[in-house]
Amino acid sequence: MNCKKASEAIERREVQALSFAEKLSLKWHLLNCSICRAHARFSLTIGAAIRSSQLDAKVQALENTLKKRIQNIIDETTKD
Amino acid sequence: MKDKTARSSFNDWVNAYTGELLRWAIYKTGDHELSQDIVQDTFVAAWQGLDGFQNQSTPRTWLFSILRRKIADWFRSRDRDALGKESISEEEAETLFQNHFDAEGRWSSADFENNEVEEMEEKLQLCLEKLPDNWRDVLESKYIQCMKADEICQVFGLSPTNYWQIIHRTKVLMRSCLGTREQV
Repeated sequence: MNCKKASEAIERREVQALSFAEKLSLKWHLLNCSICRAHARFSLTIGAAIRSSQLDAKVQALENTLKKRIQNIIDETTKD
Repeated sequence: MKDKTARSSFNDWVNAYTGELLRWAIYKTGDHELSQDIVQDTFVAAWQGLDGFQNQSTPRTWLFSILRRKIADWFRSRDRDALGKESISEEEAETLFQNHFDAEGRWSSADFENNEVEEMEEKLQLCLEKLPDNWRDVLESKYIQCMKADEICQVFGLSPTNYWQIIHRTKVLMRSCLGTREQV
């Protein structure tokens, strides 16, 4: 297994189970390749980074007033 | 037609999904005021089109698909002259991607920096923007909307293979973009 295949397998295993042989060669490759180990770590941290990039406490307040606003509008449209 | 039961379960949707829809709209448009209007329009459209919702998807997926359209409409009207979103062809994808591995499938550059989440953040937005539109949408759906892989495949019309290839390619591109120390 080369680096391309290994880094692909790291994502592919989310949707397709790897065969026993693939799991073994992925393990072996990661054991021997520090760049792919770093890539595997990155594969996880990038998700956390993207998620936290949109955290915004201010939104919480907007959310509550918006809910009321929407419900009022729906009520208006359903009268009569 | 729409009876009290429909009204009350729709209320539950408003309570359950307003926050997520709002955060997504803000993330995409960067505008709090506008996002509230878009989310409001989304629910009004959903309420009017409720008969079209046939439980084929979850309410959440359905609402997000309406929201996506509303946001896309807004971007279109804003950038009347700019090019719309276009899917990247397999050929373009290869070109974009070919430098990252050599012929034997080894990483072609070892410029591997230790990326810590904190130092990623400043460049994150810039790097996300450099991705092809539809790849970025998939990545964001996965990590911001926390959609499951099969849901993403359904919404974007992807096979599982398309899906993991996109995730793989975006991560390689993101790592390479984030790892570059010089100004982007």
